[in-house]
Amino acid sequence: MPGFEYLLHALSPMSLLIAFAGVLAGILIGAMPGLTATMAVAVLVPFTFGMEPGVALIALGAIYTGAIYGGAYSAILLKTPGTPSSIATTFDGYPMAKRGDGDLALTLACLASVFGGLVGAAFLLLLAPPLASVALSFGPVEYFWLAIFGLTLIASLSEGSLIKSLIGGCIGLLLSMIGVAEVGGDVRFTGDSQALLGGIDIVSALIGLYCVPVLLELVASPDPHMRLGSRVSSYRLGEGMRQCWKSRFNIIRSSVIGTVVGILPGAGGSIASLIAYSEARRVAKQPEKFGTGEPDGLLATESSNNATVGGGFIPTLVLGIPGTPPDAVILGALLVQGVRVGPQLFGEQSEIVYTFIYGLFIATVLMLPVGLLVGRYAFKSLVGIPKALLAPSVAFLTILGSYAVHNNAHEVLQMVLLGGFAWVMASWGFSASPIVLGLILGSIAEGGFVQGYLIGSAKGSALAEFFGRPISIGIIVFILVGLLYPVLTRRFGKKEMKHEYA
Amino acid sequence: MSTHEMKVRDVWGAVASVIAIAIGVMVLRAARDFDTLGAVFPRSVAVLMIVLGACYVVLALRKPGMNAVRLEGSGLRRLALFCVLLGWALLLEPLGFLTTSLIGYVLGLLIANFDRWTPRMTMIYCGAGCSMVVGLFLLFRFALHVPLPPGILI
Repeated sequence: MPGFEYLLHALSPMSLLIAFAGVLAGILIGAMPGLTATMAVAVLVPFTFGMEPGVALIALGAIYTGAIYGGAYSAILLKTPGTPSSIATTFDGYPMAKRGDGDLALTLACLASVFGGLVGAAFLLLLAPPLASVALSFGPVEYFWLAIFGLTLIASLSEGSLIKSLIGGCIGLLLSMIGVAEVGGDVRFTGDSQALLGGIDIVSALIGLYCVPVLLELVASPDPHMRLGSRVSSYRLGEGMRQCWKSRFNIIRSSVIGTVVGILPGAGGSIASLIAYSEARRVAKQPEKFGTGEPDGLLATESSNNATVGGGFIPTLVLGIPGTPPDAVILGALLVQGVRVGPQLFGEQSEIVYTFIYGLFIATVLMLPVGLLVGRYAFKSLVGIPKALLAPSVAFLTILGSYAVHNNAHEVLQMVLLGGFAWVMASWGFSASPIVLGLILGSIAEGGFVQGYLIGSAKGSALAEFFGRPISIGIIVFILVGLLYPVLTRRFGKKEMKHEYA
Repeated sequence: MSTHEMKVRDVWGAVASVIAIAIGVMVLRAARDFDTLGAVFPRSVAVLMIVLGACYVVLALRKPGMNAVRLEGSGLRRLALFCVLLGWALLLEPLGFLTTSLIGYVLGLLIANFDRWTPRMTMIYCGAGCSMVVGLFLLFRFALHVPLPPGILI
């Protein structure tokens, strides 16, 4: 194993203490709606400037990995993703909590996050330089197809009516176009409002679209907001581990997806978890259970989003290209510490880089006891808290979170208005998830399409650019399989049933 | 959402679809002012939305489905909380973060509580809520240096 001697350095009491504190701080920040992993890392970066580089990196890695996992708490317990990476966690996590399995959902999220984090860190340790080249082979066209792949998930998220979900997706896409166009500079759909020139902030929109409707429903009736499971006194760790073993292929597949998507600059945990969820649903024996509290959905999203942590560090450390937004903040901190990133980093400053990678392993493992403890406490507190206190407390957190994203009161107003809009849409039978998908993936799809079109036209054939590149073809095949597989299996399933009856 | 699905015509779904069609038409009109590349995506999405909206209107009016939803619970409380959130967002900068949040929190408490208020409950709820608001305000303002708006009060 490369740089094994540095493992001892990472196991020093100081490093362990820093990793523990970083994981705890990350989990607590990530658990609050609106406070993202990027913000957790950015806010706590100055505290690391006085530390030696290896330990500082361990602290930042621990905060990052803790925050990504922490996002699952509010996603499961409040149906509000704490970070964008945990959007897909709401799909099955919240229904589990509603039916009284919130404690099991939190344990599963913790186990999956730890496994995904370890897979990502293992890829970083063993395969960083060769995998970094993957990041360079992804051009605008590949990003376009990747976004389209994510958008196909709308079909599987449809609750009741597929057409309504597709209309929701279109609304999300239109919302993503508000502001100055990335290519061409057109000012679109701002209604002459200066506040909308920068577009709609995704984190504020997420809080509004998911959390405000939940809040409005919380105050509508005196019924309890969450059921208490019969086995709340335990962590349900044994049950969780059995479920993880049963879903081991799903967790491994999702972790690899998370690592690979994490390597791609700008993609991040939200896309990774959506793709992993889509794949888990596609290969599931009972895909119709997804979205109703299916543990496999939760395991897929949580293992993949934590795997992006290690994956994102690969291009950051090897190429100096941040894989995810928190990586960009960590890259800045590395430069302040005098660390020169690039392929030479693994040779010239191997002490720092390997201490950091082993530190990331340790932080991820520490997430297990810390996450289980915090999770149990969070679940019991949330179930026990009177509804009258819960609603204004969550309302305060949404206001604070959406303001703290960019220190901008306009984004708080956007959040509230989008929340009201989501509630009206929900009362008409339109789910928020397709709108969110369109909003997140719209700018990636449009940017990739326009840039790909320009590059293709300059080369002489836009069609060849979109349909002739090997990675694009691979993603297109996945899109087609994802769309056609359920139809074909249903068709062949029916035929088989007819034969059986005959 | 506390809802009941009913096997009736989804009139509100059809209304939403008509609004979606109208938005699509408006987007198509607005896209005429954009340059070619800037208009490709808005046009494509608008056309798709118009087609999907038209399909749903036809489907919703042709036969009863399972997509109609009926809300349960107090609409007045929902509306009141939404107004509080709106006021909270609008008054953050003029009044100040802490003051607005304390007022918003107390109003939220009043809306969300279904039990009879007793002096003990009032003290506990207000004490716990205000401690949380002030605690997080101090943490963000002074420890994390987030510039929360001071306004004319605090």
